[in-house]
Amino acid sequence: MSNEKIDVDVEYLTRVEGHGNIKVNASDGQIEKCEWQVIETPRYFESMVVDHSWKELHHITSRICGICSIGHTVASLKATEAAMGIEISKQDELLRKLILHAENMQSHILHVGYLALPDLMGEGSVIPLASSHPEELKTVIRLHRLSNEMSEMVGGRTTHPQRLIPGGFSKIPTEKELTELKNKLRNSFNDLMAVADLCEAKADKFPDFNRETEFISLTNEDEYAFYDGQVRSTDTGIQPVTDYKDITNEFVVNQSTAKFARNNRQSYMVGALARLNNNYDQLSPMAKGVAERFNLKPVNHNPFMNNIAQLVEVVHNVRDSINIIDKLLENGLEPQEEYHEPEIEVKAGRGIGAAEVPRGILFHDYTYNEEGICTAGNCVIPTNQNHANIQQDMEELAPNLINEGKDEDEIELNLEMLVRAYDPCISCSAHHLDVEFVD
Amino acid sequence: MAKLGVIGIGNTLKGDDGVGVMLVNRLEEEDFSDEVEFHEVGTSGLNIIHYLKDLDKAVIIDALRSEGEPGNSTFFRPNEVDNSIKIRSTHDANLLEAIDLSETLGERPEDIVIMGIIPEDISLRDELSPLLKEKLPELEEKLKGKINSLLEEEGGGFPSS
Repeated sequence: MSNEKIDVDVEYLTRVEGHGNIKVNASDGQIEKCEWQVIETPRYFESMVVDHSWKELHHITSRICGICSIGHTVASLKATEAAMGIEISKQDELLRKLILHAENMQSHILHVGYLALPDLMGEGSVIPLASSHPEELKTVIRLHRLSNEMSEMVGGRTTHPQRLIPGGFSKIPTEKELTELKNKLRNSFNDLMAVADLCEAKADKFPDFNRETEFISLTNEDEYAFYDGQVRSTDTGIQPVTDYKDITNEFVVNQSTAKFARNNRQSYMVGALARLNNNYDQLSPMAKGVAERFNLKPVNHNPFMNNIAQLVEVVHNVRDSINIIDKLLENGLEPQEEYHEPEIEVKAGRGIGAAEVPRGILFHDYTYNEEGICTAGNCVIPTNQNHANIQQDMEELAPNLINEGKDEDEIELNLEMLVRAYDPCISCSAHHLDVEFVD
Repeated sequence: MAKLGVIGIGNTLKGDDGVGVMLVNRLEEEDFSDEVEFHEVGTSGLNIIHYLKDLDKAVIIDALRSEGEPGNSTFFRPNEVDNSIKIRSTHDANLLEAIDLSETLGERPEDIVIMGIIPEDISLRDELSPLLKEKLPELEEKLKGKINSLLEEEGGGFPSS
């Protein structure tokens, strides 16, 4: 055991979206302070949506986050559609699933390739990788570009999609575009396996840290759930999405301007590892094959394995996107006019929409009046649901590292890697807290 | 034909943080030659490398955390930035790092000019601060002037920055 003073003070942790700090103080091996702090301008989500029309909400909420703009759009549309009883066609549902796959790939590849790989390679950022591992980096960039192209083809843009609207799509891709995309996806498997090889070669760099926790995600009996389903917890089983407030139980802590969440324990985890733990059997065989290379099986309690779960999901995303395109082409695309506007009967009501987005389960909840104006809104984002789990992990990992005799730099790196493994998107996690902090 | 990209970065839900995006949206409506293309990158950080890839020149507009009067704008090239001074856009996705990456990949446009605008208010609001709103036409004129001067330079023969 160390008898030194340990003072880890990471202000503005790099390679995460937004502003988070890590503070650990220890003396004679005893932790005096261990905090994951989220310090970011609070975002007044609720006030952004109230008084706006049902036609605008998905555009407004897509701007909450540059990385998860598609996921916010989809959850927002689902909430509006649930509130007004709007149904969408099977074709539109398949296209929405396709664009969610695109965003998941986009985000996971960015995280694994640009943000996590430097840790595994012992580099401070992605820039040195361009010199030390140029081919590997080019592979990552090719995959990233493919997912961007896919988002643009279905949504009209790589971020902040324009074509997704209540009731369907204003414009859909052509069969020719879908066929071309399918061929590109097929050709990406070599690149995916190259990234898997690279991660496998560095697998020993993932700390062997296990802390039992609860995992929450959507689940769907028909498929590995991203677009739709019920909420599943490894602790408490399956509940409808409408119970989301009883599941997320957001609360306020002194150290953070973002809300924390808990369900059955002091914390729970959402995201790729949670989805994999809950829905492993529904992964495509190729994705399972990648999971097996890392001995990643449910229920895995090592948060660092979230990086690998992301890689596994990308393989699944590509495989399932090909299946979706096959289905769309098999059925033949139902034509629609260039600027399609579905007929919507506007009515009052409340609707809750949930979707799995790269960092985990996302809920949007809107209430509309008869004119279709939003009178109340709530949004529970994945990163907020993970903060408490990051804190709990840190409280267990920090003393372990001190007891192992690690020096300050090693402790700092391991704690940074822990936070980065969750891929937190802090810039959209810190939204409005309408409370007084207790000193 | 040489391609000039005008790229707006920022979050329009965070007041003046979205000024780059708003400027791009305004200019997009105007009649520029086919050489000019407009992109709104939002806040998705390193994603900008994919937009830079096919350009010969780029103007990137972003809110800038720096000393100075809110509403003031400055044009600079990446090599003019002294890292020790820590000029930084309000997006920690590290614009300069993304430009470095683009260069290392051999995809960097020949010339990149950054237009940095000092924000007054980047709290959550879906419009610009009154000050920036007032300044917007002036900023737009400055940006147009820069686009035109980049277009006028012959054969893309810019000093490499």
